[in-house]
Amino acid sequence: MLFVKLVRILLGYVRVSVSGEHPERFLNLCANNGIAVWNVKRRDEMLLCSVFARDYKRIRRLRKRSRVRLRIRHRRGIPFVVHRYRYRKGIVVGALIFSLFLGFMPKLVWSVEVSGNERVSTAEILSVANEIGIKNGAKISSLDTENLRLDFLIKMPQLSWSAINIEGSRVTIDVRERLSPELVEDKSPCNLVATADGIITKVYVKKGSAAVKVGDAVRKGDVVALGTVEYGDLSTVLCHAMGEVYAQTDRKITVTVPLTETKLIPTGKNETRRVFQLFGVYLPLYLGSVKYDYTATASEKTLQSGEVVLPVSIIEAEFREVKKTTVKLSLDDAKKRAKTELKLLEAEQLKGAKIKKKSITFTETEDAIIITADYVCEENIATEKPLSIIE
Amino acid sequence: MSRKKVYKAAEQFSSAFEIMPGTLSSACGIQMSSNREVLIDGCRGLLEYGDEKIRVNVGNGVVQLVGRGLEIKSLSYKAVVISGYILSVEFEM
Repeated sequence: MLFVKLVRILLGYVRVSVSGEHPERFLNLCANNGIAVWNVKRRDEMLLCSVFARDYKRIRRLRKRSRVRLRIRHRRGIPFVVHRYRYRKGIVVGALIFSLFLGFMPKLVWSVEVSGNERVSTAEILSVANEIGIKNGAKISSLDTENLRLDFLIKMPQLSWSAINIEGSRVTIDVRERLSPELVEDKSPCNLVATADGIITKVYVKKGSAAVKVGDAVRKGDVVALGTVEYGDLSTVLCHAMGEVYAQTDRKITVTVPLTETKLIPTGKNETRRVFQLFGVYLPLYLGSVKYDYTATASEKTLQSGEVVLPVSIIEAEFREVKKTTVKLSLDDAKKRAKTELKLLEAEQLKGAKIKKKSITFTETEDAIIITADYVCEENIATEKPLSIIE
Repeated sequence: MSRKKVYKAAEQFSSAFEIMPGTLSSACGIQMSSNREVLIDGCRGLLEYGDEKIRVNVGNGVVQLVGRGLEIKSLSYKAVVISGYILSVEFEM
């Protein structure tokens, strides 16, 4: 019965009052003409009945033959509602967009979340996920989680396990990080070679046999300790040479500081521009492009419903107009700057070396100041080089 | 062959094969749910329609329903459903 009622509402029906001498005759005519009539009720001399909206025109023709008067009491059903709103196209368009939205949106990924990571950053995981196709706006049906999971592990060797779970429109990437195993001591045969030119000052060979002695001069790449041990019976055994060989080395660091510098000075003119983002598609909410020199900072406001992050956001960027001005540095300032730069480079390049002597020379040119530092250092110059058996 | 002969032959055939009488002929079928609703299949038209009495032409006779608050729930080609409190069903053949 519910289904019948649903059909009646879908097709639309009218409740009609039939008055006249023989309303039964009207009902018979309807039945004979294949017009369905239902809920027939007697009210004094009048009959109330319902017929489908599309049959109403036909029963008006039968009215004359049965000599009854018809009056519509009320209209029910969807065709009448549609008829009422036929000029309001906005409603139709809105309903259409709404149903499309409702039908289409659940098929897309709305948010990607990462859990289980401690050392590997979420941003890194998300960027790899993006590369393999797990991103906001991706079609859920096209995500083959099992293959993607393996792809993901290949691209991220620092992970030992991962699972890609799809819950509705939300994708959760669950990961476990690889625990770094203890370093196994390398036991393959090797020599120790010099990393720089110098004069040997100290030789400590823990394994293998020393090839140089204190006071020897070596060039970069020379062997300083051999990965072989000779025994008394003249037999030779290959081994992994280990040890430290210190040498006096000469080092040179040069820093150039220009005397002029370009500075960006804000003029005070600011402009805020917004971009609307939906599923990775960016729609600018402004016209034209920025024509002046600027520095910009951007912030993103993401739409959130409870804990669920929706794939809709507004990116706001503030453009500050700047003027490029050339500033001339004084000689003292340039020297100071050069010295601080030199210190940084020294810490970086002469790490682990003991500085025995240091001499600094300044050279001035037209537009720059050049600082040259010469060092005499004592440092460990031994480094391992695998021993080729064929050689 | 006259209509009566056809009717008779159909009746004989259905009695021979133990088919319900009236299934093969154009006789009407009446189905009642307690005394609250009655479906008359093979109705040829309404003769009288009132709250307490409804008379239905079934071709080879008239079925008269007497009751209280009778109403036609649905009327279509050759079938009528009547609901209400039915007190009696009479046949005028």
